[in-house]
Amino acid sequence: MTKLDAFALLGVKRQPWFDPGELQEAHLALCKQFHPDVQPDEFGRMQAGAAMASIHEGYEILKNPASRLRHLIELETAQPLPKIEEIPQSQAANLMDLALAGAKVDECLKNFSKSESSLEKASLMPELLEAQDSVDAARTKIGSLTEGVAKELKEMNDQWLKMGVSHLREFAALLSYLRKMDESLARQKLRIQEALLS
Amino acid sequence: MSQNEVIIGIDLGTTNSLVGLVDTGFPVLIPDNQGNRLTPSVASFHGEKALVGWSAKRQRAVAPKKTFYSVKRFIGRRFSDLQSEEKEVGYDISAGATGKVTCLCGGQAYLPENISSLVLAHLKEVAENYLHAPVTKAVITVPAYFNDAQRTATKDAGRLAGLTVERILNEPTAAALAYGLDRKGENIKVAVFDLGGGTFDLSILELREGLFQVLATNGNTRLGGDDIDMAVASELMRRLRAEGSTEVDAVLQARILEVAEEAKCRLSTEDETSVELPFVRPDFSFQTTLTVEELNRLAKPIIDKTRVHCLRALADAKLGAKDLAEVILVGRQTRMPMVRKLVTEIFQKEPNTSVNPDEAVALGAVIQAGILSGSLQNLVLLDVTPLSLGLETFGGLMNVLIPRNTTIPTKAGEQFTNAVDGQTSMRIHLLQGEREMARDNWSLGLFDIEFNPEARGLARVGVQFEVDANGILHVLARDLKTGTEKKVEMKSAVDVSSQEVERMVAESVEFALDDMQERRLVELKLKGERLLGITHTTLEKMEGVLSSDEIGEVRVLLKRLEQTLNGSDEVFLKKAIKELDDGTVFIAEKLMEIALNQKHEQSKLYISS
Repeated sequence: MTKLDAFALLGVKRQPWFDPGELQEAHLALCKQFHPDVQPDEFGRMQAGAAMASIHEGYEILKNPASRLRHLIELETAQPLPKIEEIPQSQAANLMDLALAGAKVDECLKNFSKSESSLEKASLMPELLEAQDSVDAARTKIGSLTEGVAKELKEMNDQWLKMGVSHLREFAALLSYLRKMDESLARQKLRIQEALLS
Repeated sequence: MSQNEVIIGIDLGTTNSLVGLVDTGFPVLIPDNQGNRLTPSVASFHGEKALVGWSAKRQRAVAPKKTFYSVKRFIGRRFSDLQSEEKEVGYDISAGATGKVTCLCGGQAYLPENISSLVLAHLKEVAENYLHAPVTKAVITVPAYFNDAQRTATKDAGRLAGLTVERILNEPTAAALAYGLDRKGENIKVAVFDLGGGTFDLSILELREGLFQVLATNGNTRLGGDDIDMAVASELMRRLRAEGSTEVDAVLQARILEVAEEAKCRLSTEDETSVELPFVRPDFSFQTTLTVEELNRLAKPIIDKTRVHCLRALADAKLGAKDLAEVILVGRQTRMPMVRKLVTEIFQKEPNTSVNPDEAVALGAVIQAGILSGSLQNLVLLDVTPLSLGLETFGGLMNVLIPRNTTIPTKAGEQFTNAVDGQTSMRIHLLQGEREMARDNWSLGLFDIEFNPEARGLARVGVQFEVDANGILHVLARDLKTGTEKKVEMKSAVDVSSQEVERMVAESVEFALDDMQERRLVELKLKGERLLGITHTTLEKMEGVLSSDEIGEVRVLLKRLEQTLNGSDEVFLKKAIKELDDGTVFIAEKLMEIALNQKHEQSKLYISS
């Protein structure tokens, strides 16, 4: 459980959704006030270093919708959330598809990295290009799923307290999964691009 | 710091350096008394006297063994870490007593930071002459991809020159400051492509209302224009030898490198250029012509290496090329048309050349100096740590504490406990890098955590790792039971004696030696078999595409490999594998072309349907 309250630190309301611009504004104002470079003396600079580190940490937590929701739930319930959440039933099929796409790409990359001759590498090209397409498609799908969640969360900004925090848990779990998958797909995409360059 | 205290900004480059300061609200670069703003980063020793800058550079062809250039490539590094081609400089280098790269001159030994400090002292003097007042504080730039040891060594160079280094600033970030100073109102994302003499950096920044935030950075501290000079020089050397000049001494080598660099620069604006070396021997002058095509062919493998770093930085920033408003070119090597073409291709837009690629970094250093001294206001810079920071854990793995591209200043903590009863200390190995295995990363150093003697698992020491705004690491240990704090002294990796490093390396390979030879042969044979298989199937598949001559040539190589596979001669086997691999490259290229074409056709179908 994190000790800091990122919402208080950034001076924003506790709520599930923020447009990126709102958080940026808050972060920018704090940077201009607390950055070590703008302090008038050595003592101020020493203090500001630690303050800035906390501000960045808080901003990073809030910037990402998944970690923001988790943080919000942890603050409200004063309980740490389990590291791994159950997959929400309603989304199981969607997430399974994405995971399978990722596994197939992994297989392709594994074959490629094992190949030693230029001939072998070249013969894997069509597969690699196909893998690239499926990664792109999967990421587009994640994008639209994430956008859907964002829309729902935005509508909940005013009433989430009435509905209860537990209601948010499913969203938090889903967002975490989508984020993790997107990150792993992004890594795969990079590896494919690197492979295509070689 | 008082409002009026002067801080100078210095771009300490591999090849050239610059100095400047904020004068009545504007960043300016200061010329020396000859009117030059650029100072070559060269020092030359003659008895008691050291020449610095232009006068030293002129010594390079006359006294190559006493003239030290490009030392930035060596600063903060261990001799044993250098690749063989990196050691190809006109002067002598060796591993000093501590394993650091050391420059030798007669009986004297100099660390790279000693040489750099001479350049810095010269720049300090240039600024003092301009101001008619002493200067004691500076901002110095380094490649974004410099690790902790390289940054610390640069800071030491400043100290040796009598300068307090107020900030170590990343070069591409500095360039972005210079670019963005007049665009404070905009809210955009930009990339800085910085290819200098010895290093390459790619940084992606977000600019909004006076805040410059680095989102990601990637690079290579051993990639730059010098590599192209070297490639051109070896081509010239080859031609020189072909004309019967076999003896190339250090002086001639230095001359060839010099004309190679000049020819490369001329070819940025001309299609071909004549290269002349008068009186290589008393009776022989060398002359040859170099074309742009020839230069591009030599430079391509070097320049192509920048691609992957661009892709990685974009991935880390979670951005695509289309999200960037501008790509800013910095570093003298970006004047080369071929580099500009590559940048246009990678980022799908014409690069921005509005900043002077030679001066942008220095101007940025001056702007940062202005921010620190209070003479420039309403600007804030948020940079990142370029490399992940971690500890070696059980099994030789690296455990990341602070991931790369984390905004600095930042901190991370870790708790340690005693593993056995009464244990009083524990050795921690700090690492920087992106590889999974500890040994593949840079070793930043070792330090000891002290425990009060207690039963196993009871002692508790928290260690805090803090990366400051310079990108330099500080370690603090706190006994969680008593609350006593202690700054941990880290033995820098380059301070560990070379014998100790050698011993550690030796221990790790000793037991592996026995079965190595046998395993190598087995692995080679497997590799050969695979290559045979894939070549056979490809030939079948490509029968209609390849001419019978082409197939015949490949079959000869196939036969040869088959024969060597029956024997057990490692050298022959290796040769046969390489020959077949090389001999089928043209087929591989055809295969790739076909795959890409098919892909292209497909996408056309999508569009039309």
